Amino acid sequence: MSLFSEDDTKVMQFTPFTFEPPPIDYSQFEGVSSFPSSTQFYEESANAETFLKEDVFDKGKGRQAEAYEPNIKAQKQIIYLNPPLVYDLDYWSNSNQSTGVKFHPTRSEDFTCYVFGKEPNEKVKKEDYTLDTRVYNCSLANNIDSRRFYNETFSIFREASRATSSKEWREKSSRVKLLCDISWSYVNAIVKHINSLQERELNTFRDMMSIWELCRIMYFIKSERYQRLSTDLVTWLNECYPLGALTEEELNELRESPNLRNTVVFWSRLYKLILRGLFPQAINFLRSILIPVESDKFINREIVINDIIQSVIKCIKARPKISSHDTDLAWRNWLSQCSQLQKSIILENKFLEESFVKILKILAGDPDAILSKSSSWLEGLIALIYHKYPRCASSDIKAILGPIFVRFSVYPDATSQVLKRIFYQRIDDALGYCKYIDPWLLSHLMDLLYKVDLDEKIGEKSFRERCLINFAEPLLTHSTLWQIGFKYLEHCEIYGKVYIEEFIGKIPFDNERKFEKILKICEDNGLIFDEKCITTTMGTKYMQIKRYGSTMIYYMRAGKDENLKTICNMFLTQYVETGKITFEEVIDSIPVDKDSNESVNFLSRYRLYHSLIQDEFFHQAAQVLVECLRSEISPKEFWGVLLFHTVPLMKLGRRKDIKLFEKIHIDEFEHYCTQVLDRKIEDSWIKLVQRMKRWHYKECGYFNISEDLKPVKIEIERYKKFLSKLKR
Amino acid sequence: MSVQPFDSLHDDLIHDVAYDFYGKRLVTCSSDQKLKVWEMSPDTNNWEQIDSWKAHECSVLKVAWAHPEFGQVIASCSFDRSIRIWEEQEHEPKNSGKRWFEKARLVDSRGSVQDVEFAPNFWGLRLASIAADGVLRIYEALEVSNLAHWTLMDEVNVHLSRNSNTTTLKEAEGSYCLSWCPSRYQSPMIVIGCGKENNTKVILDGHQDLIHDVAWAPNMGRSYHLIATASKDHRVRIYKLLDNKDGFAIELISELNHNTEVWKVKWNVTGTILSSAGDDGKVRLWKASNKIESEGFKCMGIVCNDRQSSDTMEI
Repeated sequence: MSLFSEDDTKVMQFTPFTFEPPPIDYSQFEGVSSFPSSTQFYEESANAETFLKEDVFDKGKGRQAEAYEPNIKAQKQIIYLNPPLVYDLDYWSNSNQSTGVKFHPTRSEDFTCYVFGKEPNEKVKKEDYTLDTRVYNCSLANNIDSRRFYNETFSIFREASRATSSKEWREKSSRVKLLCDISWSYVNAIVKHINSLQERELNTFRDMMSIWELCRIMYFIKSERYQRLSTDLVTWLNECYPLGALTEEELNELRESPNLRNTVVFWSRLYKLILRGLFPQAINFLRSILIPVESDKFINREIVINDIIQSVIKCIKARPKISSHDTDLAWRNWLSQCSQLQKSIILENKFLEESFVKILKILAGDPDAILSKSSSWLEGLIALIYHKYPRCASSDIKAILGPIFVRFSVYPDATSQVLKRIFYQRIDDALGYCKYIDPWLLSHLMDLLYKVDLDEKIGEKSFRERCLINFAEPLLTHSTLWQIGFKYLEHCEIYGKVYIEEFIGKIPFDNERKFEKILKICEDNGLIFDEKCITTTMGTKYMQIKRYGSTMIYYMRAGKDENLKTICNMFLTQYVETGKITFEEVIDSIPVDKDSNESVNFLSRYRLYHSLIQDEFFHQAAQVLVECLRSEISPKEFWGVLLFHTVPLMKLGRRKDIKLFEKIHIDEFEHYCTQVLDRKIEDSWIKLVQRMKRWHYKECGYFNISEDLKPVKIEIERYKKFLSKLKR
Repeated sequence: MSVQPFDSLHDDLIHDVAYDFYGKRLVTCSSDQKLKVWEMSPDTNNWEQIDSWKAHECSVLKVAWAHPEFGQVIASCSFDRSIRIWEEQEHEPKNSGKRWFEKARLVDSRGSVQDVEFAPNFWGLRLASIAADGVLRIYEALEVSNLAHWTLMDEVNVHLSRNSNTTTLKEAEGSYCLSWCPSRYQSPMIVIGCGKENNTKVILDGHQDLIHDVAWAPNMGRSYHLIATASKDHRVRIYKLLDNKDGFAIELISELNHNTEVWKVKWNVTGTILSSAGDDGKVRLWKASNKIESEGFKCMGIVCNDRQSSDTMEI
């Protein structure tokens, strides 16, 4: 039998928890020796620092998670711009320069630094200064490179949100199952993601996973109901902080040892296996020191030792399963067997005797034996729970922690602090530390814990929101995750809308697809003003590149009547300048109906007038022209242009004896003549006529126009006579 | 955490840098009388120059971008006492010096124009300026598509209202600054910093010396407003403005010691981090705790310009 079988180096096969979980392949962690981010879990503290002194957790509900500011080193970041120049210490206060900053308008942790002149050079004496014209773009945020993970976990988050309104949620028993399922989905996602990570990111996600799993055991699955807390915890320890592989030195010592029974490394390893409940491996270890009896000389001694080994193996195998029905009785019987076996071990080799006794003491839950062989507070705690308090509930753990912290100290890193506080049932403080690990962990864990009715322990509901917002905010400006960012905000009832409102307009859009997605978010959240604003911006973008059709469509969508009027007037001005209808294609590309903007409607009717004239539908053209005048939509001075248009039609009517205008129209024409000649618009009217004159008579050969509308007035008089003649 | 520099290649001191609305463009202004516009290239992830042109006859002191709903519009103000409005001409090639066309020149000031800022877009295309003559001027392009025409809507002599004396006037010259209230749920408000007084709509007492900069924090659903000031008396002050029936209850909630003269204060987009730039060439970043009133602001980071700087300042 090989001593270093594959069982030794591999992580123990996963034991399902209370519920049948979705399959998780923990074998993915094979070969990963040191799971936690720091080495503390394997270090024993010689200095019995009393944790209890700082333990104020029993003094009732206190600080809330967000208010908790743990004393973690390196909170204050120092950023060096490292310019190519070296400044004297007092350079800045004596010179006209200092370092300025401007924050990025959409990313809360990005900013630009630059050396600025305090005063303009006109106000200061010429001095020798070091000119630094560099602009430094700084970011305190980490790049988001876990895109798939965020996408995947958002789906779980959404499912979790939906779950609370489901029928199953209302029944307590099925709610626990639902919670565990959700928790498992998160763990699955973390494990899957760990596989794709580089070494430097692994630690964070491993820490996240260990915290999440511990929360699940302590808060979600209510292990005490099934008396499996100790088993679950020992499984958690072995999965998240597995026993590392033997070092090369230890292996050599074992290989070179003439007798493993007397080798310290062998027994140390065996103690660990027993402490961590890794019994199959421990049994393998014990079997490896069974010596086949060959000669009579040693027969008695070896037979005795072999018998003891077999008895210890038998004892380990006989350890009752905690979930069995008659646990109490079975446990007492088994402890009594252990005790008898312990007393019966008397050997010549005292080292061997003590080692066997130690094993049995650990199995029987002797605190001294357990803690003396544990390497960290975590290992000691879980071993103590597993061997001494196998049926304890999560609320009992707090009482067990005392002796642990007399012997061990806890490193100040965030993960250790979180784990410690989870065991202390101080989830609010634990969450306070989670923010130093990862905003994803804090926000998602807090969200799920709120669903387990732990909100009283955690604090105000707004804390959940703040954590979610802190997590979601960097996503909002991410090129591909921005929509997920907004979805998270939609799950924040108090502040979510404010943030959506602040950020939605700041999402840059280069194409219509993205634009429509942004508008959809506005629509879903009832952000009418922002919707209009974004649509106007789209219109202005087209305006800048002179795509007036699209501009008008977006301005119409945004209800920007003033902007539309300006564009329409611009087209009318172009007509006045050149005599050409430059807006045919533009107006044809716009869907216009009676409800459309009045300026656009006018332009559309005016374009129709010109096409009717071109196609010699004079009767209809006359009608449209009257309509255009009556609408009074165009600028007042343009009414004169419309009046000029009536002249050829009136002439044509007279010449061909067709009644193109009624008497009432002629009266209206006279009225509009008076309006155009109003002094208030005199300047703009004269300018218009001057511009129109350039092409109206000379280039196009039309009648000669004048500022006093004389041709119109003359034709009106003639047309009146024509109408009276017709009447007679 | 990352720092990525690029050289603006100005020939003299930079006075201001401004991001556009999306943060995809930057404009820099300098004593070399030029404006330079930069754009973040998605291909190279570097800032690339779009154009550079002589914008004023003297040092250009401040620049500001208008909301994109009004197009690509920049306002610059200068020691030459003018404000100029620039609009991008898409048809002009990049770096031709013609890409930004001067649409308007506002020359009402009788002193150098020291700060200029567009109002939030929900108030229309409005521009506030403050000049060394101590007058706050609010302009508005009533027809947003006609940037050539700006109407002077309001002129407020900042010094006339309270305790003005000639010493203050003289001292205050050169330290005017302004900041619009970014909230859409308030009537338009603006805070002005000038020497020992802050004036117009908001009066903030407590300064022992000149005020170099003011910044109105984004509201983000808070029931109150926050305004930060940078003062010559080495302090960064944060005021809380609580809306009540009679106006605002103003309370000084934080007084942060910078140990040196403070020149600039700026808030981040969510109003959770405040930066202050001091006379020591360093920028300090102050993070707001979740309970601002009781726990205030804590220094979360320091940006050191020096190569081997060791910060010994006690926060």
